[in-house]
Amino acid sequence: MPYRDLVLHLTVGNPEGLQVGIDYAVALARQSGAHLTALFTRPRLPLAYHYIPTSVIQEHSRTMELEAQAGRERFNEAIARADVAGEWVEVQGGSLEAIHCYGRTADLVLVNQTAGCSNDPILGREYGAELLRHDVAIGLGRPVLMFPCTPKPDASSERILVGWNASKEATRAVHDAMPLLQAAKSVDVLCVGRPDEAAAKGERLVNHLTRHGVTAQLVLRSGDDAAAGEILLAEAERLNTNLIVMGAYGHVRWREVVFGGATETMLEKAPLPVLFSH
Amino acid sequence: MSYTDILVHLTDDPRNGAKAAAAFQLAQRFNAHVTALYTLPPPQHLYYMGEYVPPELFQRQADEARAAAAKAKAEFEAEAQKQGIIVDWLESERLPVDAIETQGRAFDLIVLGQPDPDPKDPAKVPAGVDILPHELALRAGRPILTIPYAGQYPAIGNRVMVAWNGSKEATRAVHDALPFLKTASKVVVFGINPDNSRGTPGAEMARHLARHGVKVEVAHTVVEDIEPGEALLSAVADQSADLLVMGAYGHSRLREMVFGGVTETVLNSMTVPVLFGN
Repeated sequence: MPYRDLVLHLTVGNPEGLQVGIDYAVALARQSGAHLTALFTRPRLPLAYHYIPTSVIQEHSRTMELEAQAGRERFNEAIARADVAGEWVEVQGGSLEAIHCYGRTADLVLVNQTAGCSNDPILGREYGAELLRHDVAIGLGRPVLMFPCTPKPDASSERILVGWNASKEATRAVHDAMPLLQAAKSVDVLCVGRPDEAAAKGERLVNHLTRHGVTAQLVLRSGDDAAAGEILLAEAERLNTNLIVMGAYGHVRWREVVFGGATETMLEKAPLPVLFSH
Repeated sequence: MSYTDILVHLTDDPRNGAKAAAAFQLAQRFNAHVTALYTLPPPQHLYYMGEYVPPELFQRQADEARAAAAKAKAEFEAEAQKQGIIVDWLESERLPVDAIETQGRAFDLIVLGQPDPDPKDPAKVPAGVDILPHELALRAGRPILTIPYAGQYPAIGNRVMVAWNGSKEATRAVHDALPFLKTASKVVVFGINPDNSRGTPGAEMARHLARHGVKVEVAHTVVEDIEPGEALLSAVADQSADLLVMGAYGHSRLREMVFGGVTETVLNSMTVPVLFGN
Protein backbone atom coordinates (compact mmCIF):
# COMPACT_ATOMS: atom_id res chain seq x y z
CA MET A 1 0.00 0.00 0.00
CA PRO A 2 2.22 2.86 -1.21
CA TYR A 3 1.89 6.48 -0.21
CA ARG A 4 -0.60 8.42 -2.29
CA ASP A 5 -0.48 11.93 -0.80
CA LEU A 6 2.62 13.74 0.44
CA VAL A 7 2.82 17.22 1.95
CA LEU A 8 6.06 19.20 1.85
CA HIS A 9 6.24 22.07 4.32
CA LEU A 10 8.27 25.08 3.18
CA THR A 11 8.78 28.47 4.83
CA VAL A 12 10.16 31.88 4.04
CA GLY A 13 13.68 32.71 5.07
CA ASN A 14 14.97 29.23 4.27
CA PRO A 15 16.00 29.15 0.62
CA GLU A 16 18.32 26.18 1.03
CA GLY A 17 15.62 24.17 2.77
CA LEU A 18 13.26 25.05 -0.05
CA GLN A 19 15.57 23.85 -2.81
CA VAL A 20 16.68 20.69 -1.07
CA GLY A 21 13.14 19.98 0.07
CA ILE A 22 11.62 20.29 -3.36
CA ASP A 23 14.19 17.95 -4.89
CA TYR A 24 13.81 15.40 -2.10
CA ALA A 25 10.02 15.45 -1.97
CA VAL A 26 9.57 15.32 -5.73
CA ALA A 27 11.90 12.30 -5.94
CA LEU A 28 9.97 10.57 -3.18
CA ALA A 29 6.63 11.39 -4.81
CA ARG A 30 7.84 10.05 -8.12
CA GLN A 31 9.01 6.78 -6.57
CA SER A 32 5.69 6.32 -4.76
CA GLY A 33 3.43 7.53 -7.54
CA ALA A 34 2.04 10.01 -5.05
CA HIS A 35 0.49 13.46 -5.34
CA LEU A 36 2.67 16.16 -3.74
CA THR A 37 1.32 19.30 -2.05
CA ALA A 38 3.87 22.02 -1.32
CA LEU A 39 2.64 24.02 1.65
CA PHE A 40 4.47 27.34 1.79
CA THR A 41 3.87 29.20 5.04
CA ARG A 42 4.85 32.69 5.97
CA PRO A 43 4.06 34.80 8.98
CA ARG A 44 1.34 37.37 8.71
CA LEU A 45 3.25 40.63 9.01
CA PRO A 46 1.88 43.35 11.23
CA LEU A 47 1.46 46.86 9.87
CA ALA A 48 3.67 48.16 12.64
CA TYR A 49 6.00 46.40 15.02
CA HIS A 50 7.68 48.00 18.03
CA TYR A 51 10.50 50.21 16.94
CA ILE A 52 10.80 48.86 13.43
CA PRO A 53 9.86 51.38 10.73
CA THR A 54 6.94 50.58 8.43
CA SER A 55 9.19 50.77 5.41
CA VAL A 56 11.27 47.91 6.72
CA ILE A 57 8.17 45.83 7.23
CA GLN A 58 7.01 46.56 3.72
CA GLU A 59 10.42 45.59 2.46
CA HIS A 60 10.09 42.25 4.22
CA SER A 61 6.69 41.79 2.76
CA ARG A 62 8.05 42.31 -0.73
CA THR A 63 10.94 39.94 -0.07
CA MET A 64 8.57 37.25 1.10
CA GLU A 65 6.41 37.77 -1.94
CA LEU A 66 9.42 37.30 -4.21
CA GLU A 67 10.54 34.24 -2.29
CA ALA A 68 7.10 32.70 -2.57
CA GLN A 69 7.00 33.38 -6.27
CA ALA A 70 10.45 31.91 -6.85
CA GLY A 71 9.53 28.89 -4.77
CA ARG A 72 6.33 28.34 -6.68
CA GLU A 73 8.13 28.50 -10.00
CA ARG A 74 10.83 26.14 -8.87
CA PHE A 75 8.26 23.69 -7.54
CA ASN A 76 6.10 23.73 -10.66
CA GLU A 77 9.14 23.23 -12.79
CA ALA A 78 10.34 20.30 -10.68
CA ILE A 79 7.02 18.44 -10.72
CA ALA A 80 6.60 18.95 -14.45
CA ARG A 81 10.07 17.58 -15.09
CA ALA A 82 9.48 14.54 -12.89
CA ASP A 83 5.91 13.98 -14.13
CA VAL A 84 4.52 14.23 -10.61
CA ALA A 85 1.01 15.50 -9.85
CA GLY A 86 1.33 18.40 -7.45
CA GLU A 87 -0.14 21.56 -6.02
CA TRP A 88 1.39 24.73 -4.52
CA VAL A 89 -0.47 26.18 -1.54
CA GLU A 90 0.41 29.38 0.31
CA VAL A 91 -0.71 30.18 3.83
CA GLN A 92 -0.14 33.37 5.78
CA GLY A 93 0.01 32.99 9.51
CA GLY A 94 -0.96 29.92 11.52
CA SER A 95 1.70 27.59 10.14
CA LEU A 96 1.06 24.88 12.69
CA GLU A 97 -2.67 24.78 12.03
CA ALA A 98 -2.05 24.69 8.28
CA ILE A 99 0.41 21.83 8.54
CA HIS A 100 -2.01 19.88 10.71
CA CYS A 101 -4.92 20.66 8.44
CA TYR A 102 -3.22 19.60 5.21
CA GLY A 103 -1.15 16.91 6.81
CA ARG A 104 -4.03 15.03 8.37
CA THR A 105 -5.52 14.24 4.97
CA ALA A 106 -2.15 13.04 3.68
CA ASP A 107 0.04 9.98 4.24
CA LEU A 108 3.27 11.76 5.20
CA VAL A 109 4.50 15.30 5.91
CA LEU A 110 8.04 16.34 4.99
CA VAL A 111 9.73 19.11 6.96
CA ASN A 112 13.19 20.56 6.86
CA GLN A 113 15.31 20.15 9.98
CA THR A 114 15.68 23.90 10.25
CA ALA A 115 12.04 24.57 9.43
CA GLY A 116 10.87 27.89 10.69
CA CYS A 117 14.32 28.77 11.90
CA SER A 118 15.22 32.31 11.09
CA ASN A 119 17.33 34.85 12.93
CA ASP A 120 15.40 37.70 11.43
CA PRO A 121 13.41 39.41 14.21
CA ILE A 122 10.28 39.68 12.12
CA LEU A 123 10.41 36.52 10.07
CA GLY A 124 11.60 34.38 12.93
CA ARG A 125 8.82 35.68 15.10
CA GLU A 126 6.16 33.17 14.38
CA TYR A 127 7.75 29.94 15.43
CA GLY A 128 11.09 28.69 16.64
CA ALA A 129 12.41 25.61 14.90
CA GLU A 130 12.36 23.34 17.95
CA LEU A 131 8.81 24.17 18.89
CA LEU A 132 7.51 23.77 15.40
CA ARG A 133 9.07 20.38 14.89
CA HIS A 134 7.85 19.19 18.26
CA ASP A 135 4.31 20.47 17.87
CA VAL A 136 3.99 19.20 14.34
CA ALA A 137 5.15 15.72 15.31
CA ILE A 138 3.00 15.52 18.44
CA GLY A 139 -0.22 16.88 17.07
CA LEU A 140 -0.31 15.58 13.52
CA GLY A 141 -1.41 11.98 13.76
CA ARG A 142 0.64 11.19 10.66
CA PRO A 143 4.36 10.46 10.24
CA VAL A 144 6.78 13.34 9.78
CA LEU A 145 9.81 12.87 7.55
CA MET A 146 12.46 15.36 8.60
CA PHE A 147 15.37 15.96 6.20
CA PRO A 148 18.60 17.95 6.61
CA CYS A 149 20.05 20.29 4.00
CA THR A 150 23.63 19.18 4.36
CA PRO A 151 24.53 16.60 3.45
CA LYS A 152 21.91 16.46 0.71
CA PRO A 153 19.45 13.73 1.61
CA ASP A 154 19.23 10.58 -0.47
CA ALA A 155 15.65 10.00 -1.62
CA SER A 156 16.27 6.39 -2.59
CA SER A 157 15.67 5.27 1.03
CA GLU A 158 17.37 2.00 0.12
CA ARG A 159 19.01 1.35 3.47
CA ILE A 160 16.73 1.95 6.44
CA LEU A 161 17.56 1.78 10.13
CA VAL A 162 14.65 1.33 12.52
CA GLY A 163 15.13 2.40 16.14
CA TRP A 164 12.93 -0.03 18.08
CA ASN A 165 12.12 0.13 21.78
CA ALA A 166 8.64 -1.44 21.54
CA SER A 167 6.93 1.78 22.60
CA LYS A 168 3.64 2.87 21.10
CA GLU A 169 5.40 5.67 19.24
CA ALA A 170 7.86 3.20 17.75
CA THR A 171 5.13 0.83 16.60
CA ARG A 172 3.30 3.71 14.92
CA ALA A 173 6.50 4.76 13.18
CA VAL A 174 7.24 1.28 11.87
CA HIS A 175 3.74 0.75 10.53
CA ASP A 176 3.61 4.27 9.07
CA ALA A 177 6.90 3.61 7.31
CA MET A 178 5.84 0.24 5.92
CA PRO A 179 5.72 1.34 2.24
CA LEU A 180 9.33 2.51 2.54
CA LEU A 181 10.43 -0.60 4.43
CA GLN A 182 8.86 -2.79 1.78
CA ALA A 183 10.67 -0.94 -1.01
CA ALA A 184 14.07 -0.84 0.73
CA LYS A 185 17.07 -2.97 -0.20
CA SER A 186 18.12 -3.43 3.41
CA VAL A 187 16.39 -2.87 6.74
CA ASP A 188 18.15 -2.98 10.12
CA VAL A 189 16.30 -3.00 13.42
CA LEU A 190 18.30 -1.50 16.29
CA CYS A 191 17.37 -2.40 19.86
CA VAL A 192 19.23 -0.74 22.69
CA GLY A 193 19.14 -2.08 26.21
CA ARG A 194 19.79 -5.18 28.22
CA PRO A 195 20.69 -7.99 25.82
CA ASP A 196 17.94 -10.51 26.62
CA GLU A 197 15.12 -7.94 26.67
CA ALA A 198 16.34 -6.19 23.57
CA ALA A 199 16.67 -9.46 21.69
CA ALA A 200 13.15 -10.58 22.61
CA LYS A 201 11.55 -7.29 21.58
CA GLY A 202 13.57 -7.12 18.40
CA GLU A 203 12.86 -10.66 17.30
CA ARG A 204 9.11 -10.18 17.61
CA LEU A 205 9.34 -7.18 15.32
CA VAL A 206 11.61 -8.89 12.81
CA ASN A 207 9.16 -11.81 12.54
CA HIS A 208 6.24 -9.45 12.08
CA LEU A 209 8.12 -7.52 9.38
CA THR A 210 8.84 -10.76 7.55
CA ARG A 211 5.11 -11.31 7.29
CA HIS A 212 4.90 -7.90 5.61
CA GLY A 213 7.50 -8.92 3.06
CA VAL A 214 10.35 -7.06 4.77
CA THR A 215 13.59 -8.92 5.54
CA ALA A 216 15.17 -7.16 8.49
CA GLN A 217 18.45 -7.72 10.36
CA LEU A 218 18.48 -7.33 14.11
CA VAL A 219 21.23 -5.18 15.66
CA LEU A 220 21.60 -5.27 19.45
CA ARG A 221 23.49 -2.70 21.48
CA SER A 222 23.66 -2.15 25.21
CA GLY A 223 23.06 1.28 26.63
CA ASP A 224 20.34 3.30 28.27
CA ASP A 225 17.63 5.62 26.97
CA ALA A 226 19.75 8.75 27.21
CA ALA A 227 22.43 7.27 24.98
CA ALA A 228 19.95 5.86 22.47
CA GLY A 229 20.13 8.85 20.15
CA GLU A 230 23.90 8.75 19.93
CA ILE A 231 23.90 4.99 19.42
CA LEU A 232 21.32 5.36 16.67
CA LEU A 233 23.46 7.92 14.85
CA ALA A 234 26.59 5.84 15.26
CA GLU A 235 24.89 2.76 13.81
CA ALA A 236 23.43 4.80 10.96
CA GLU A 237 26.90 5.86 10.02
CA ARG A 238 28.32 2.36 10.33
CA LEU A 239 25.54 0.89 8.18
CA ASN A 240 25.55 3.73 5.65
CA THR A 241 21.87 4.26 6.29
CA ASN A 242 19.91 6.75 4.23
CA LEU A 243 16.73 6.84 6.34
CA ILE A 244 16.06 6.37 10.05
CA VAL A 245 12.62 5.35 11.30
CA MET A 246 11.78 5.95 14.97
CA GLY A 247 9.07 6.93 17.41
CA ALA A 248 9.18 10.54 18.57
CA TYR A 249 8.80 11.83 22.08
CA GLY A 250 8.28 8.61 23.88
CA HIS A 251 9.19 10.68 26.88
CA VAL A 252 7.64 14.09 27.41
CA ARG A 253 9.56 16.90 25.85
CA TRP A 254 10.62 18.72 29.01
CA ARG A 255 12.22 15.56 30.26
CA GLU A 256 14.16 15.18 27.04
CA VAL A 257 15.29 18.78 27.16
CA VAL A 258 16.54 18.35 30.71
CA PHE A 259 17.87 14.80 30.63
CA GLY A 260 18.53 14.44 26.95
CA GLY A 261 16.76 11.93 24.85
CA ALA A 262 16.77 10.23 21.52
CA THR A 263 14.27 12.50 19.80
CA GLU A 264 15.98 15.74 20.69
CA THR A 265 19.35 14.28 19.69
CA MET A 266 18.03 13.35 16.28
CA LEU A 267 16.30 16.66 15.75
CA GLU A 268 19.47 18.57 16.49
CA LYS A 269 22.05 16.42 14.85
CA ALA A 270 20.79 13.87 12.38
CA PRO A 271 22.76 14.18 9.14
CA LEU A 272 20.23 12.09 7.28
CA PRO A 273 16.45 11.95 6.92
CA VAL A 274 14.43 10.67 9.87
CA LEU A 275 10.83 9.49 9.76
CA PHE A 276 9.10 10.15 13.09
CA SER A 277 5.73 9.16 14.38
CA HIS A 278 4.16 9.93 17.68
CA MET B 1 0.03 -1.75 4.48
CA SER B 2 -2.25 -4.66 5.11
CA TYR B 3 -3.33 -6.71 8.09
CA THR B 4 -1.00 -9.67 8.26
CA ASP B 5 -0.88 -10.26 12.02
CA ILE B 6 -4.07 -10.05 14.07
CA LEU B 7 -4.17 -10.32 17.87
CA VAL B 8 -7.43 -11.38 19.50
CA HIS B 9 -8.03 -11.18 23.24
CA LEU B 10 -9.72 -14.19 24.82
CA THR B 11 -10.53 -14.82 28.45
CA ASP B 12 -13.01 -16.63 30.66
CA ASP B 13 -16.15 -15.03 29.24
CA PRO B 14 -18.86 -16.13 26.83
CA ARG B 15 -17.77 -13.91 23.93
CA ASN B 16 -14.70 -15.90 22.91
CA GLY B 17 -16.56 -17.52 20.04
CA ALA B 18 -17.76 -14.21 18.62
CA LYS B 19 -14.35 -12.55 18.94
CA ALA B 20 -12.54 -15.48 17.38
CA ALA B 21 -15.11 -15.59 14.58
CA ALA B 22 -14.45 -11.94 13.80
CA ALA B 23 -10.69 -12.49 13.82
CA PHE B 24 -11.01 -15.51 11.53
CA GLN B 25 -13.27 -13.62 9.16
CA LEU B 26 -10.62 -10.92 8.82
CA ALA B 27 -7.84 -13.48 8.52
CA GLN B 28 -9.62 -14.99 5.53
CA ARG B 29 -10.15 -11.64 3.89
CA PHE B 30 -6.67 -10.24 4.47
CA ASN B 31 -4.72 -13.50 4.43
CA ALA B 32 -3.53 -12.95 7.97
CA HIS B 33 -2.24 -14.98 10.90
CA VAL B 34 -4.25 -14.85 14.10
CA THR B 35 -2.72 -14.96 17.58
CA ALA B 36 -4.98 -15.45 20.58
CA LEU B 37 -3.86 -13.88 23.82
CA TYR B 38 -5.76 -15.57 26.64
CA THR B 39 -5.63 -13.75 29.96
CA LEU B 40 -5.95 -15.76 33.16
CA PRO B 41 -6.77 -14.38 36.59
CA PRO B 42 -3.66 -13.10 38.37
CA PRO B 43 -2.13 -15.35 41.03
CA GLN B 44 -3.83 -15.01 44.39
CA HIS B 45 -2.31 -14.29 47.76
CA LEU B 46 -2.87 -16.05 51.04
CA TYR B 47 -4.39 -12.97 52.63
CA TYR B 48 -7.44 -11.42 51.01
CA MET B 49 -8.95 -8.35 52.65
CA GLY B 50 -7.03 -9.09 55.84
CA GLU B 51 -8.45 -12.58 56.20
CA TYR B 52 -6.50 -15.75 55.78
CA VAL B 53 -7.91 -17.81 52.94
CA PRO B 54 -7.11 -21.50 52.78
CA PRO B 55 -4.87 -22.41 49.84
CA GLU B 56 -7.29 -25.14 48.80
CA LEU B 57 -9.79 -22.49 47.74
CA PHE B 58 -7.22 -20.80 45.55
CA GLN B 59 -6.10 -24.06 44.16
CA ARG B 60 -9.63 -24.86 43.12
CA GLN B 61 -10.09 -21.45 41.48
CA ALA B 62 -6.76 -21.74 39.75
CA ASP B 63 -7.64 -25.21 38.49
CA GLU B 64 -10.96 -24.01 37.17
CA ALA B 65 -9.28 -21.10 35.42
CA ARG B 66 -6.72 -23.41 33.83
CA ALA B 67 -9.47 -25.79 32.73
CA ALA B 68 -11.41 -22.93 31.14
CA ALA B 69 -8.26 -21.82 29.32
CA ALA B 70 -7.58 -25.31 28.02
CA LYS B 71 -11.16 -25.60 26.77
CA ALA B 72 -10.98 -22.20 25.06
CA LYS B 73 -7.72 -23.19 23.41
CA ALA B 74 -9.15 -26.43 22.09
CA GLU B 75 -12.19 -24.66 20.63
CA PHE B 76 -10.08 -21.91 19.12
CA GLU B 77 -7.62 -24.25 17.48
CA ALA B 78 -10.36 -26.55 16.22
CA GLU B 79 -12.17 -23.71 14.51
CA ALA B 80 -8.92 -22.40 13.05
CA GLN B 81 -8.08 -25.76 11.62
CA LYS B 82 -11.57 -26.06 10.10
CA GLN B 83 -11.07 -22.71 8.36
CA GLY B 84 -7.47 -23.34 7.39
CA ILE B 85 -6.08 -20.38 9.32
CA ILE B 86 -2.63 -20.37 10.92
CA VAL B 87 -2.90 -19.47 14.58
CA ASP B 88 -0.79 -19.02 17.70
CA TRP B 89 -1.82 -19.28 21.34
CA LEU B 90 -0.39 -17.11 24.10
CA GLU B 91 -1.39 -16.96 27.76
CA SER B 92 -0.75 -14.34 30.39
CA GLU B 93 -1.53 -13.78 34.06
CA ARG B 94 -0.99 -10.05 33.79
CA LEU B 95 -3.88 -7.61 33.66
CA PRO B 96 -5.40 -7.73 30.17
CA VAL B 97 -4.47 -4.12 29.36
CA ASP B 98 -0.80 -4.66 30.19
CA ALA B 99 -0.56 -8.04 28.50
CA ILE B 100 -2.21 -6.90 25.27
CA GLU B 101 -0.34 -3.61 25.18
CA THR B 102 3.03 -5.38 25.38
CA GLN B 103 2.24 -8.13 22.89
CA GLY B 104 0.29 -5.88 20.58
CA ARG B 105 3.26 -3.80 19.44
CA ALA B 106 4.20 -6.22 16.68
CA PHE B 107 0.66 -6.67 15.36
CA ASP B 108 -1.42 -4.85 12.77
CA LEU B 109 -4.82 -5.08 14.48
CA ILE B 110 -6.13 -5.97 17.94
CA VAL B 111 -9.59 -7.55 18.33
CA LEU B 112 -11.37 -7.09 21.68
CA GLY B 113 -14.82 -7.47 23.11
CA GLN B 114 -17.03 -4.62 24.25
CA PRO B 115 -17.57 -5.12 27.99
CA ASP B 116 -21.10 -6.08 28.94
CA PRO B 117 -22.53 -2.95 30.57
CA ASP B 118 -24.93 -5.01 32.68
CA PRO B 119 -23.44 -8.43 33.43
CA LYS B 120 -25.68 -11.05 35.08
CA ASP B 121 -22.97 -11.99 37.57
CA PRO B 122 -20.43 -9.16 38.08
CA ALA B 123 -18.23 -11.43 40.21
CA LYS B 124 -17.55 -13.62 37.22
CA VAL B 125 -16.26 -10.83 34.99
CA PRO B 126 -12.47 -11.22 34.72
CA ALA B 127 -10.38 -8.46 36.22
CA GLY B 128 -9.65 -5.50 34.00
CA VAL B 129 -11.99 -6.51 31.21
CA ASP B 130 -14.57 -3.78 31.85
CA ILE B 131 -12.14 -0.99 31.03
CA LEU B 132 -10.13 -2.86 28.45
CA PRO B 133 -11.09 -1.09 25.21
CA HIS B 134 -11.14 2.30 26.96
CA GLU B 135 -7.60 1.95 28.27
CA LEU B 136 -6.13 0.06 25.36
CA ALA B 137 -7.36 2.57 22.79
CA LEU B 138 -5.09 5.13 24.48
CA ARG B 139 -2.09 2.92 25.09
CA ALA B 140 -1.82 0.41 22.28
CA GLY B 141 -0.54 2.48 19.38
CA ARG B 142 -2.42 0.02 17.16
CA PRO B 143 -6.02 0.03 15.90
CA ILE B 144 -8.54 -1.65 18.19
CA LEU B 145 -11.49 -3.51 16.66
CA THR B 146 -14.16 -3.85 19.33
CA ILE B 147 -16.89 -6.47 18.91
CA PRO B 148 -20.23 -5.64 20.60
CA TYR B 149 -21.06 -7.67 23.68
CA ALA B 150 -24.06 -9.30 22.03
CA GLY B 151 -24.86 -10.51 18.55
CA GLN B 152 -23.03 -12.16 15.68
CA TYR B 153 -21.22 -10.23 12.98
CA PRO B 154 -20.64 -12.39 9.91
CA ALA B 155 -19.85 -9.41 7.67
CA ILE B 156 -17.53 -6.72 8.99
CA GLY B 157 -16.38 -3.94 6.72
CA ASN B 158 -18.52 -4.18 3.59
CA ARG B 159 -20.22 -0.88 4.32
CA VAL B 160 -18.01 1.33 6.45
CA MET B 161 -18.81 4.59 8.18
CA VAL B 162 -15.85 6.79 8.99
CA ALA B 163 -16.48 9.42 11.64
CA TRP B 164 -14.31 12.34 10.51
CA ASN B 165 -13.73 15.56 12.45
CA GLY B 166 -10.28 16.53 11.23
CA SER B 167 -8.56 15.59 14.49
CA LYS B 168 -5.34 13.66 14.89
CA GLU B 169 -7.16 10.72 16.48
CA ALA B 170 -9.53 10.57 13.55
CA THR B 171 -6.75 10.61 10.96
CA ARG B 172 -4.97 7.82 12.84
CA ALA B 173 -8.15 5.76 12.80
CA VAL B 174 -8.81 6.34 9.11
CA HIS B 175 -5.29 5.42 8.05
CA ASP B 176 -5.22 2.39 10.36
CA ALA B 177 -8.49 1.30 8.75
CA LEU B 178 -7.24 1.56 5.15
CA PRO B 179 -7.19 -2.20 4.51
CA PHE B 180 -10.91 -2.25 5.42
CA LEU B 181 -11.68 0.86 3.39
CA LYS B 182 -10.00 -0.42 0.28
CA THR B 183 -11.94 -3.69 0.28
CA ALA B 184 -15.32 -2.22 1.24
CA SER B 185 -18.09 -1.85 -1.28
CA LYS B 186 -19.09 1.48 0.26
CA VAL B 187 -17.36 3.97 2.57
CA VAL B 188 -19.04 7.07 3.96
CA VAL B 189 -16.92 9.87 5.44
CA PHE B 190 -19.31 11.32 7.97
CA GLY B 191 -19.12 14.57 9.95
CA ILE B 192 -21.28 15.79 12.82
CA ASN B 193 -21.66 19.54 13.13
CA PRO B 194 -18.68 19.98 10.83
CA ASP B 195 -16.69 23.13 10.27
CA ASN B 196 -17.56 24.57 6.87
CA SER B 197 -14.71 27.04 6.61
CA ARG B 198 -12.67 25.02 4.19
CA GLY B 199 -15.29 23.99 1.65
CA THR B 200 -17.43 20.86 1.82
CA PRO B 201 -16.69 19.07 5.08
CA GLY B 202 -14.91 15.80 4.55
CA ALA B 203 -14.14 16.57 0.91
CA GLU B 204 -10.38 16.69 1.47
CA MET B 205 -10.35 13.38 3.26
CA ALA B 206 -12.59 11.87 0.59
CA ARG B 207 -10.23 13.02 -2.12
CA HIS B 208 -7.27 11.52 -0.27
CA LEU B 209 -9.10 8.22 0.19
CA ALA B 210 -10.09 8.16 -3.46
CA ARG B 211 -6.40 8.36 -4.32
CA HIS B 212 -6.00 5.20 -2.28
CA GLY B 213 -8.63 3.50 -4.43
CA VAL B 214 -11.44 3.72 -1.88
CA LYS B 215 -15.04 4.03 -3.13
CA VAL B 216 -15.97 6.94 -0.93
CA GLU B 217 -18.94 9.25 -0.34
CA VAL B 218 -19.26 12.20 1.96
CA ALA B 219 -22.15 12.99 4.28
CA HIS B 220 -22.75 15.07 7.35
CA THR B 221 -25.41 16.04 9.81
CA VAL B 222 -26.07 18.98 12.06
CA VAL B 223 -27.59 18.22 15.44
CA GLU B 224 -28.45 20.38 18.38
CA ASP B 225 -30.48 18.45 20.87
CA ILE B 226 -28.98 15.02 20.50
CA GLU B 227 -25.63 14.11 21.99
CA PRO B 228 -23.09 13.65 19.15
CA GLY B 229 -22.32 10.04 20.10
CA GLU B 230 -26.00 9.15 19.80
CA ALA B 231 -26.19 11.00 16.49
CA LEU B 232 -23.24 9.00 15.24
CA LEU B 233 -24.80 5.67 16.20
CA SER B 234 -28.07 6.74 14.54
CA ALA B 235 -26.19 7.56 11.36
CA VAL B 236 -24.52 4.13 11.48
CA ALA B 237 -27.98 2.56 11.55
CA ASP B 238 -29.36 4.88 8.85
CA GLN B 239 -26.51 4.01 6.51
CA SER B 240 -26.73 0.29 7.36
CA ALA B 241 -23.04 0.37 8.09
CA ASP B 242 -21.45 -2.80 9.41
CA LEU B 243 -18.29 -1.15 10.72
CA LEU B 244 -17.68 2.23 12.34
CA VAL B 245 -14.20 3.79 12.20
CA MET B 246 -13.48 6.60 14.64
CA GLY B 247 -10.75 8.31 16.63
CA ALA B 248 -10.86 7.58 20.34
CA TYR B 249 -10.72 10.20 23.07
CA GLY B 250 -10.21 13.40 21.16
CA HIS B 251 -11.04 14.83 24.54
CA SER B 252 -9.20 13.36 27.48
CA ARG B 253 -10.65 10.22 28.93
CA LEU B 254 -11.07 11.85 32.31
CA ARG B 255 -13.11 14.63 30.77
CA GLU B 256 -15.27 12.15 28.91
CA MET B 257 -15.81 10.11 32.04
CA VAL B 258 -17.02 13.20 33.87
CA PHE B 259 -18.85 15.07 31.13
CA GLY B 260 -19.60 12.30 28.71
CA GLY B 261 -18.30 12.18 25.19
CA VAL B 262 -18.54 10.45 21.87
CA THR B 263 -16.02 7.72 22.68
CA GLU B 264 -17.69 6.82 25.95
CA THR B 265 -21.12 6.79 24.33
CA VAL B 266 -20.00 4.55 21.52
CA LEU B 267 -18.11 2.19 23.85
CA ASN B 268 -21.23 1.82 25.96
CA SER B 269 -23.83 1.59 23.21
CA MET B 270 -22.20 0.35 20.01
CA THR B 271 -24.46 -1.59 17.68
CA VAL B 272 -21.84 -2.71 15.16
CA PRO B 273 -18.13 -3.46 15.48
CA VAL B 274 -16.06 -0.30 15.93
CA LEU B 275 -12.46 0.30 14.89
CA PHE B 276 -10.86 2.83 17.25
CA GLY B 277 -7.68 4.74 16.50
CA ASN B 278 -5.82 7.14 18.70
